[in-house]
Amino acid sequence: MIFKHLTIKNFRNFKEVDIDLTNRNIIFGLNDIGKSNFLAALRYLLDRNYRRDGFIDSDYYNKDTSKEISITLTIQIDDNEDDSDNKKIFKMMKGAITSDAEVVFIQLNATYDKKRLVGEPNLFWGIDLDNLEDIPSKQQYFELDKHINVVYIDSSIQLESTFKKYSKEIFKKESSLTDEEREDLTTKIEELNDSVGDLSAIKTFEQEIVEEYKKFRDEQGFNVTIKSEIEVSNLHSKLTPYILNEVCETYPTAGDGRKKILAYTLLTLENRRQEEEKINIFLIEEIENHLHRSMQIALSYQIFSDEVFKYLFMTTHSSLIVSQMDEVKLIKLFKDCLVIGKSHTYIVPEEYKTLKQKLNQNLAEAIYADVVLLVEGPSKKILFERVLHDKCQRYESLGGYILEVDGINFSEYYNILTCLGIEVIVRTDNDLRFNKSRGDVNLLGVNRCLSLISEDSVDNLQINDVDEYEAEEEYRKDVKREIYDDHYSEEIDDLIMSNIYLSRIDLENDLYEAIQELMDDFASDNNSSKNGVDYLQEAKMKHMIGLCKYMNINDIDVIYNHDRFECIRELVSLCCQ
Amino acid sequence: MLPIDLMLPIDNDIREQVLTQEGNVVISASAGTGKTYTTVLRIKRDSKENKTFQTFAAITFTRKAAKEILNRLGPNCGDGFVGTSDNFVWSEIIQPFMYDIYGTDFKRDIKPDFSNENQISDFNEGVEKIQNTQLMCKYNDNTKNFAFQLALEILKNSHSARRFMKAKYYRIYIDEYQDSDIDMHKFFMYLCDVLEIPLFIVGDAKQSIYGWRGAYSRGFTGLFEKEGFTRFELRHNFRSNKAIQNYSNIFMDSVREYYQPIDFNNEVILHRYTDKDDASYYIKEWLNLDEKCAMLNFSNDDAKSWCERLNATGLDFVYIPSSPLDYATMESEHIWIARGIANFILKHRYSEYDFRDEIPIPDDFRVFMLKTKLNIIKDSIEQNEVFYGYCYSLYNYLGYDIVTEKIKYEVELLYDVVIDEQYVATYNQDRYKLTSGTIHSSKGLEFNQVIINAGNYDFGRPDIKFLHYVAVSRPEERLLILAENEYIKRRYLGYINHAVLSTSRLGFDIEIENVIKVIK
Repeated sequence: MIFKHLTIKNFRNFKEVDIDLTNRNIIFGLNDIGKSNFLAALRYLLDRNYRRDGFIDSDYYNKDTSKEISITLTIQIDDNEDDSDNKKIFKMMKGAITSDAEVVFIQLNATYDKKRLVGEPNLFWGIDLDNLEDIPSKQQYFELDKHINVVYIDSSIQLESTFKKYSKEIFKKESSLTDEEREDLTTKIEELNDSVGDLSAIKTFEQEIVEEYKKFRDEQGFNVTIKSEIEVSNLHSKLTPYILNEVCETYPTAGDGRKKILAYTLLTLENRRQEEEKINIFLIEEIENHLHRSMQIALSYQIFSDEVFKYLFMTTHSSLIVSQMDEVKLIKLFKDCLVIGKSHTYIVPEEYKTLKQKLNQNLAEAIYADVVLLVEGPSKKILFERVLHDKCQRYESLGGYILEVDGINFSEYYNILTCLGIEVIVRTDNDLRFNKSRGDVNLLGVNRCLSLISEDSVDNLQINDVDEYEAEEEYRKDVKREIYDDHYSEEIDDLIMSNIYLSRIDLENDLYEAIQELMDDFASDNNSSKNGVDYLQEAKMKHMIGLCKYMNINDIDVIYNHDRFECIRELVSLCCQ
Repeated sequence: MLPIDLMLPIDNDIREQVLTQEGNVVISASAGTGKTYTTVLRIKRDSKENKTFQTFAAITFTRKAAKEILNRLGPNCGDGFVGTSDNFVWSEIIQPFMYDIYGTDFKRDIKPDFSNENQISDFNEGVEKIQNTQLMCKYNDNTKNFAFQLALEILKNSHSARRFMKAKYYRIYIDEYQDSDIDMHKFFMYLCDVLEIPLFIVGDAKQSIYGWRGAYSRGFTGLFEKEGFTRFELRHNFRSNKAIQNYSNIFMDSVREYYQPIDFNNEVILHRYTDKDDASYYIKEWLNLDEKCAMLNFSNDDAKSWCERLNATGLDFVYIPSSPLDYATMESEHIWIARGIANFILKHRYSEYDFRDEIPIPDDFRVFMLKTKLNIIKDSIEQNEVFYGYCYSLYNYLGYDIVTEKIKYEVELLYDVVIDEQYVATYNQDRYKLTSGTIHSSKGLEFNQVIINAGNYDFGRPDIKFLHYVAVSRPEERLLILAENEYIKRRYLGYINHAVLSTSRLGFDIEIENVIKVIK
């Protein structure tokens, strides 16, 4: 069983939104973009208790109650016939599925009843979207509700009430107490009740009541007794969870974080018990609130590794909560006249499984942005941040983000981010790989850029003087300049249209084109005999930090307006203007 | 009779095993051995163990048996299927999945209708008939079962239907299996052999009395040897005393070995009478008036004339005619409405709540409406036209908005029944101490004393031996067999002789005097 698609029409802030799904889904976007409404749509469709009261006029898009609310979920069922959740669907939908069906639809429609001031939800299912059948129901209890269990968790979860809900179950079964235990408890409770009844305060109170009563009506032999009524059957209501610390002292589970985690634990424990009976679908809303980063990371591990959460819809603003994600659908909701959404299946690529932490961490930050500038390493990031400090200091709060790929393929990020509707700007070096025996170079940098926009790689370039290429740095630079200015200038212009910027040579040399004098001064001020480029390349990051401090407002201006650094201007224009 | 749990049955160890045996189980259970009780116990145990989304089906042959299981299960039923075999194949296979192999033309309501009007002679005609009328039909040859042939055909060809059945059921319990015909048997075997759904089958080949309509009891006995089936035998009869058990057992090859030597105290008597007056006087002498007694006849006419004769001698026997509404020819998808109305009008303490239990999907209807409509019908019994009108209104409320010829005929017959006082007894059988009725209507009922006519039992005719078993195993304490003349007496004694001889060949020390007392 695989969730495939959700369509929401005319519901709250969604006029019409079409989203591809998978079994674990992460929904993100700005505040008020409709993340909770997205979950609410699923709750109306799948959660009987939520659906029961129907829709009010403000649940209709723009309060336009003349149109119907429609929520349609598509589920793939042909993935594995022995999957027990598929079996639950086969049982549940009976003859509504044909032998050759690959997907099934579950749909909710609600037309507003102007007399009763409510939109009554009607449920349908089937395999032909134009020809769905009524879901059998009895008094608003649909066949669907027998088999699907929606677990809604949000950050307002209270340990006390969650514990109360489940503590009832502890003694519920006949077998939960042995005969000896029961007898022992009963005897002790009777003793306790007797002792309470014998307390002098109680005796005095009894006496006072009797005296007061007799003022109203003097009745012969009238008496009152007050009894304690603790029983085995209401024991659970007196239970409170405590957390033990290392030295085994007990203290009430204070602190929001631990309380929350314990409440989540109770919820999952309960639903683990139901796993065989029902399809558990977890809807989780911003659980990161009030949680320390280590708690968030712990939750992330649990959520993305535990099978109990195999059907998950989670809204979050936290890059930590999603830090362990794998095989998830990233769903970004954003405004483009109307609220729309884009989604992308994210699977940690096999070759990066060991680098998962790093890949995810970068990505988890970037997916929340609107414009992302991808750069290769830290020295570039340092330079660009310095420029942005003067030109658009608040670029991050305006949706901009600089992501250093640092050893990971650009394409991993580029594809995911563009699929999510995020503007991506790429800045990369004009790298070449020399093959001496063939006497040619592979145009690594050019090809890297072309592959991002799915263009074919270009042929290797023959080197005229192989020995000189090997020996002379300047000769190698000339080859790069030739590639940039002559051989592939057209392609490079096209790439710029896609916001992909190739260095003429590399960052340091490009920078040298803009502020040669400053860089040379910087080298000599630091007692180096090297020129500006060589000095920078001697210790890229360290010297870049130094250089950035060395720059004044005019230098920044020069860099910002230089042809080689158009990528920063693009970032500023996309998010700061 | 003691409640089952207060007595330790002789087959106690088997009864334990029956509740836990995995895989396919077949149980041959003699009359009065508590097979429904055992089945219900097993269902309860299984559903308690079951923590999955899967469920069970308990399949019976009559609505009455289904209702009994349903009542005994109570809240343990969950979303399990409890109902008749016809209803099972209709609601679980034919209605939902027929379209999957015959096309979307069949994705409509297919209403069950097992009446005689809708007869067909071959399979394809049946499929066509469903397409044209949306009604289930049956073969004019009543040994063939169209519904089950169709259900099996659908299962064999619809992947979706097979997938559904496998996903839904962890076990299927089938009661009275000896009454299955060959098509039902093939269907059930497909469930266990191909779909690998474990079956829990209970039956008694000795009680097969539906051979006339195709019951295939070899299907049942064949399971004893079938691979993958574990066979059990329940033989402790909780209903009858040992003398009655002995008497019923020695006639049947399969249970003869359970004969138990006892002190025989004339619990079973064969009386040869000269005329019916003589017989009546003998009965008066024989009868224990403190206990229930039933005279079991083959026909309504016999039951009536014996009743009159017994009344003349001062015995308060009540004639129990079978209700025309219960005839097999009256079967239709809505006959339960007429039967329900008859019960409401005639049966003591039968209320609108009982009526609601008969409705296939009772939640769709309001008790208040049912009560109002039923009472109006009851109050209009003086005028037939008005009565019909109110009946049609109830049919309409329950979803039959067109008054078809069939409904008309049904309601007119219903009227004839409810205005005829003799049927008051039929609908209140259990309230009378002394009754005279037919053997088919007694199936499942219990009496302390039973009287039968030896003349009815010609063992040369098919199935009669089984009918005899049903009759002689019915009483708890005493059995009286009447023989109207010397020939009948000698013929019947011949059967007894044969039975006794066969028993002694098994090594028992047995004489005729140990099992029956012959008078005159």
